[in-house]
Amino acid sequence: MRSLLRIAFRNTGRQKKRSVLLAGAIAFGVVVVTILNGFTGGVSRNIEGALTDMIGGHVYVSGTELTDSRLIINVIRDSGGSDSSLASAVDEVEDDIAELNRRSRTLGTLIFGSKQTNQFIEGVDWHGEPSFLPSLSLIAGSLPGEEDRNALILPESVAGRLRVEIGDQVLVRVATVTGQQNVGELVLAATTEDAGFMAFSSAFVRLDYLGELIGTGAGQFQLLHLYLRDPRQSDRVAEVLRARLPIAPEEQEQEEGGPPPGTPGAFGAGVSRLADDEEPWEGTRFEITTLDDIMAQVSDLFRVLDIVSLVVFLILLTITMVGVVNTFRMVLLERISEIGTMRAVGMQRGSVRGIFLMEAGFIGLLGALIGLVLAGIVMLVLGQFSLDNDSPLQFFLDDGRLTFAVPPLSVLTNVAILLALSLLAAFIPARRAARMDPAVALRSN
Amino acid sequence: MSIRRLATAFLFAAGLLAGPGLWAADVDVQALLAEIDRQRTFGDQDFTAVMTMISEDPEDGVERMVVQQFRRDADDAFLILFRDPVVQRGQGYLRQGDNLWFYDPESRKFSHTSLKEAFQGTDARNSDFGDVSFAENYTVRTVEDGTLGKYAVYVLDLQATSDEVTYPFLKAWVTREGSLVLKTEDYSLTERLMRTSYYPRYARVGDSVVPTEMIFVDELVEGKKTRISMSDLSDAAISDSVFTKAYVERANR
Repeated sequence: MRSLLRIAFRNTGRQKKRSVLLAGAIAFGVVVVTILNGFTGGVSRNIEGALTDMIGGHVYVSGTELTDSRLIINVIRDSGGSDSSLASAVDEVEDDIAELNRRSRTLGTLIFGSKQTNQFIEGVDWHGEPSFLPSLSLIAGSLPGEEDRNALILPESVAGRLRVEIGDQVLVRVATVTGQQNVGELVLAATTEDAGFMAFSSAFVRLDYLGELIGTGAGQFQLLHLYLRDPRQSDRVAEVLRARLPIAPEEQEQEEGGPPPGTPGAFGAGVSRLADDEEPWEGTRFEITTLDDIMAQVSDLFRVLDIVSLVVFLILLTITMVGVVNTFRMVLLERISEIGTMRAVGMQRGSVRGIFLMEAGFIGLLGALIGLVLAGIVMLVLGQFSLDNDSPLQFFLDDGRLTFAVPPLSVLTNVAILLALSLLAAFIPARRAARMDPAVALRSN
Repeated sequence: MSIRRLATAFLFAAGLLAGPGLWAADVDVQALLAEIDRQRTFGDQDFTAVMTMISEDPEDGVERMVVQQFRRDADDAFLILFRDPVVQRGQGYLRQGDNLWFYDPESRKFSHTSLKEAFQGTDARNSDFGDVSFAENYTVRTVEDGTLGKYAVYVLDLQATSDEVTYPFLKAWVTREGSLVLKTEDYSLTERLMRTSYYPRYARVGDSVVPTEMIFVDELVEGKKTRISMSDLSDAAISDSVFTKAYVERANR
């Protein structure tokens, strides 16, 4: 076997130019597919990171209650005490949790003088969330203190739209959870860098103040965000919580024209009423969502991109393999007398076939190696460019830079496909070489 | 007598003296609210009108809209169809009981909306075009005698009876003669003035009285207001088919 490998290796080097050209063609395909795989992997990871930062966490718990008049309102009145169902459910996964945050969120209108803008407003317990305030990139102003009850933190672009400056009083118009109109007074404490993805740029206020405005009351909240030590455990943690908490049933298909649950009904923005034929419930009903659930559509998109890149890779390889077939047919013609000699001195047919196949394998591996190294260099160079912070592509980047993450499994799969196709391409010339009659081969010399 | 008892007696006496000032003695408030509701709603009769809305926004400038309103209070139904501007022609709001839909002819789809939403970004709310009962939704905190311009009025300070009413607090200036609402002030849950509405002109349609001019002033956004004037008022019967989605889809096509 070793001698066969040696012969095959020596044969690969006999026509260096031809081998390098073949390996180069294969390498081109490997470069394309590796960069595409690396791009989708990197962007997917960056989006996941950006969503984790913006939504805040890996697992999210929301709660709904039913009022006496069958309005469905979004609130968790769970105090978090040891006797509460939510607290005991969270205790079950305590070891998995790195940080746990209570939030409320609403869509309101910020008003300053004659200017107004609709804005997502997030209530944050900023002194109960150790990582929140330090995570903000301040442009102006200062972080609010414990006593700043009406403090407002705005993305810079929103502050610019309102033409509001630090210390100015801003009015906020919101609807309560039951749909009543309410107005609060906020004081701009700080402006921050935009998140780069406008739809997700939230304004931040104190959780208890927002609770008063939207009518959930002090100490109550709407969302519980769980940061996990290991984000890969999010499905398991979600399952444990679902098993321990009263869970809202899966949303059912609505009749055409009927109001979907949780969307504005006739009774107020964001408020719907339970239909007469639906079963009422007592207390809080929870819904558990993971980052993976939110990422599912994004992941599907990248899966499609991966499939497209694989198809492109296969097309490129197929074209290259036509060249491999032709090359090995030429090799066969060039080495007829050599094959006759080897067969005459006792080499078996299988060994002759093996030498041809090993040679094809060496060229394939060489191409893969060159391709992977070139792809690595290209990705390294592309990763050095930094884009403007205002770019809408920020959401897909890591700190303004394009990052690549090539999954090892896809590298192995691509190399395996490449080797299989190389062997397949060389198989017919190899079989013809193996079947050659030694006497005929020697005569042809 | 201790200082605390003295203070309590003083406050009690002050309350007795202030009381008549906060509650006009000669008015039955529930009857007054019921009369306002009766006049503002159409009972069994239908109502049709053309409304011209001019909204002034310091940022967006002046916009003019003309809509046709069909109203049937007996079924809690109304239909508002856009005539002008041309780009909005064919759009419509259809209310059937608790459901309110907005129809967009571009997408040919109905989307659910809310009576509490602002009407097309103006200072009017969708609920301003239907029957909203004062007597059902509010209780009277105080009633005072007053004047508004040359009219003698009752000033009603109202509080919502449930947490589902759009404006939790409301003040209404109602003429002593005729029980017409001339002005209202809408307050937020934090009792901040959000909107002032003026109803300077009325017309009689059948048994009801309709404000033919309404001015809504946004008290939060400086310089933002909407003026609505009504014309072509009619109490003629409207076909049942008007209050259907099929009619909205066919209209102005």
